[in-house]
Amino acid sequence: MMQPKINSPTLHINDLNVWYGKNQILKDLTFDVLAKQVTAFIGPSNSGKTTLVRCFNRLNDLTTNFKHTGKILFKGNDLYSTKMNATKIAKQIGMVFQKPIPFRKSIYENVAYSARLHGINHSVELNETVEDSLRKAQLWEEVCNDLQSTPDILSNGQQQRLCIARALAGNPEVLIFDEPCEQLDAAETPKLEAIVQSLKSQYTLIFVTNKRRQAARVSDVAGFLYCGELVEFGQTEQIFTNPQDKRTEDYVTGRLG
Amino acid sequence: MNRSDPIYNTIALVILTIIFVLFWNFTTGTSDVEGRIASNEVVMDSLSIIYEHFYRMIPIFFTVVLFSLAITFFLEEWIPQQSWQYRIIERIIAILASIPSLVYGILGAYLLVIQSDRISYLTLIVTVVLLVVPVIIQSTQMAIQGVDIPVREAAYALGANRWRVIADHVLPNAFPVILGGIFIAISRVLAIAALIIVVYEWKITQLQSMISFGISKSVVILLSSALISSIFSSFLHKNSDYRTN
Repeated sequence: MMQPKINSPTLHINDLNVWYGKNQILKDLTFDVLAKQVTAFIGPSNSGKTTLVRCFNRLNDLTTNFKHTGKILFKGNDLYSTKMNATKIAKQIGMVFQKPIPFRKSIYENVAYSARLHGINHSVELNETVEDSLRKAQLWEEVCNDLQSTPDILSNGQQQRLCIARALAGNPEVLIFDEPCEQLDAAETPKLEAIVQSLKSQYTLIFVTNKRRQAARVSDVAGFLYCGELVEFGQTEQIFTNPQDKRTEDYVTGRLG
Repeated sequence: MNRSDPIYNTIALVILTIIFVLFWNFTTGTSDVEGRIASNEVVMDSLSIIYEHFYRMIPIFFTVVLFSLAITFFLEEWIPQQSWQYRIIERIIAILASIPSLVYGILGAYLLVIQSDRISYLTLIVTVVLLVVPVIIQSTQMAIQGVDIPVREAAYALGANRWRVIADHVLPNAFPVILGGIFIAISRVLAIAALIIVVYEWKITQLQSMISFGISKSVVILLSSALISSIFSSFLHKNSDYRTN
């Protein structure tokens, strides 16, 4: 296990409350996400994990009757201030969803799409970006011969890795994985975890999962969310070996959730 | 090229339809020469009028289609779906679309043709707008709502703005259904145009006396029954599970 590095927080969340209509989803969350680390959020379903990470790239804005109080600072800037542009935030904070969502374009165009959104239009540069991101997502060897065919030919796990490559082509600073292994089989899950480990040196990663052991394998820092409360937040080793809260202990040992 | 892409299927369908229309006379020709001559006298005149006004209608139709697409995208993408403005506009469009096209045709013929005693450009515009806009808006709404929400979210999460999401994902995915709605609208206009022109071939004064006597009452009955049924059906639609998001 790594020692905690001394670096400034990429995301600073202060007193965050979130409501959908009258339901309060998140209650008084305060924590820091440090750069170049894997921060995992664990917890049973309906505990607000997805809602939390969707606040970071402002996808919750699309949901009607979403409202929040508190602050989310991204490198010192309030994400929800009127000066910030949701599109620019989404370019800096990428996301991989639970279900692989390839666009109905060729494999090459899927990855090139997000590179084009970032102003890369020259074909040589575009080819380099596509190859680089597909290599980072460990998919290049498998698809380099049929870049022009549609993602239908790929397996579920390959499609998920394509989505990772697509998110990486936009060169984000933070990459959010929202339960990425939920629909993958046992053979694909270790590959995805290996990708997460290899990306750790370059990106700040946030990993949401409801598999306890996966969080223990993948993350440096972990937070346990239960019914909208952040019960415990700290080093993964400590959360899994020496939890301070009774509920965390119950969840980690399998008595809860 | 991806063969499973619905756009190519749609293009193929359009080409097939054009071929079918071009060879219509060939495929439906009958050997009954005398009967054809007898019936063609009436039909040919009305057909020539349809063709004449069809060419006039093309630019109007394109403008109206673009206009109604713009309205729909504004309605679906910009106005929040829980707001009272959205609900009122949607209800009005549902009511307008459910009124039979015959009612519009007779109203157009009576109010604009017979009253002013000539077929003006304005007549065509007003009638085509009333016939086409609600139908296209309704089908386009269905098409836009049919686009998967995860696809939109994935595009937003990559940093696409609203215009890019519409142009790159919503429009290509919804295009086949939108095209179907436009064809339905065209057929609606053509059908009622044929009917009205055949009626118009009769003496105008006869029609006028008919309308002032009986048809105005039946139009009122038709209109009110259409209104009642559409209001009822829109309440049913509101309470169904069709729209969950």
